[in-house]
Amino acid sequence: MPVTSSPTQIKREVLSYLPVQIQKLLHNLKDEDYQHLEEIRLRCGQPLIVRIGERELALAGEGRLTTILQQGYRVERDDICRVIASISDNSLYAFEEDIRRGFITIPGGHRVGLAGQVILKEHNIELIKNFGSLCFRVAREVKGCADPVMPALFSSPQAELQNILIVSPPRCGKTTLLRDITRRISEGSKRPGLNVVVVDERSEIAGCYQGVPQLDVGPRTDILDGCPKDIGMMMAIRALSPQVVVTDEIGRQGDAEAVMECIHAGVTIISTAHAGNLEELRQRPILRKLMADGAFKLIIILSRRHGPGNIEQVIRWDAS
Amino acid sequence: MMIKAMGIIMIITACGVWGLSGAKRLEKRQEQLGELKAAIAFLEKEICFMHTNLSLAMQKTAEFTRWPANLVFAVAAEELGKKKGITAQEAWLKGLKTMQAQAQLQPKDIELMAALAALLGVSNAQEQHKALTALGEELLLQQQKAQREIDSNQKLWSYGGFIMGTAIVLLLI
Repeated sequence: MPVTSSPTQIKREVLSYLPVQIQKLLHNLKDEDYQHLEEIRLRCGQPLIVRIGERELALAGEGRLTTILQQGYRVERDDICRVIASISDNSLYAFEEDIRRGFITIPGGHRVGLAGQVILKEHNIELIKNFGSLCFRVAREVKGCADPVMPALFSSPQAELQNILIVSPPRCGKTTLLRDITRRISEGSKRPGLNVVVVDERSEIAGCYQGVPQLDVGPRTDILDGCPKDIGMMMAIRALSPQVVVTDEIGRQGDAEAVMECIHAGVTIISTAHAGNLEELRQRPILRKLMADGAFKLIIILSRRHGPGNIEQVIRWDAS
Repeated sequence: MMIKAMGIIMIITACGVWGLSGAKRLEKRQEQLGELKAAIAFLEKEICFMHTNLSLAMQKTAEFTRWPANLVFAVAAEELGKKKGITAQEAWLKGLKTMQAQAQLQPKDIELMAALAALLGVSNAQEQHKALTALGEELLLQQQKAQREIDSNQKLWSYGGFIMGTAIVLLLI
């Protein structure tokens, strides 16, 4: 039975970063709502919106949820400023790199997405200022969600771990499944645990806060947090001698080259990609090439048909 | 006669002490401005080069700085450390109020320091560097002015009290 983050844990980790009046409203939500809470959105001058499972609702007085947005608590600029001060510990200068990436990770691995006035320098984001909206994305680890696929990860009881690609549209639980697979292979059970390197470009897999993973990725796991995937994979091979490299959302040419380098170096790769099904996957040239080269031997396709993390198909892939 | 003599001594002493404390106030203000300037440079180093979080940077600066200039940093660090949703601006102004009660600074010195409140911690290192450097320079100017005030007025205050005391006595006799 999968074990998910508790409402108390989410309240403790997320609510303390919000202004007192918003905290009061959110404290009135039911535990059941917290169990499915995915996002809290604050937009300057607009109603406070929460995403609970598939529902997007405004939060009105006394924590009442409503579909009528106009009834929702109106977010003020001061609320945004207080949240920014709070998540950055009043030290935005210490989060310059995170701001350039568009989000700040808070303890618990939850991410706060930032939007505002973007300042560019030579086509690169120099900084974001005058923040206008924020999105708290609740990190949810679901321990045990990988249990149904674990037997399929090895082609036979004696065989080594295969290269795996998890495929789904956004918000179907790819990263959650990837994290649990990482934890399981790092811990080991019937098989010995493996040394894993997580190249966590967007801090989503391990949810690192000040370099320390906030989500359980196992005892034999090293994390390259905030590191670009292609650079991270090569760095991992050179410096950390992993047996497995885990990374999220491959899709660029550099990622594909690094994946092939890892495979040729005898390192197993587990990754994810955005696509609704095999057909859509084939329409992405870089992924099509990887599939044709036989980079991945196992493809797990997820959907949201029965909620996030619904395993649609597990395909053994034979490029020949 | 005895009472009269004692009265004369008391008037001259009181006025003299008042004058001396006035002279001392000038000196202390200059010292405290210098202390604040050094503290701001220390804070700038912590923020711009070490990227230390503001509450810790404030705490370190408070430890580096002498009383009463350290009060602004110590109180701000304490307020930020509580993590009760207080902003750097609010914490800084609270610290400034505490320091003002103990220091010999003038309202214009406090105004300079207060101007930093809205900028503290809310921008990147480069912007923080600009704001802190500007404040440091303004504090230096204030310190130089305070020094000139010492040069021109310290003796006046020191002797002026006694002279005024004597004048009062002569008027009363």
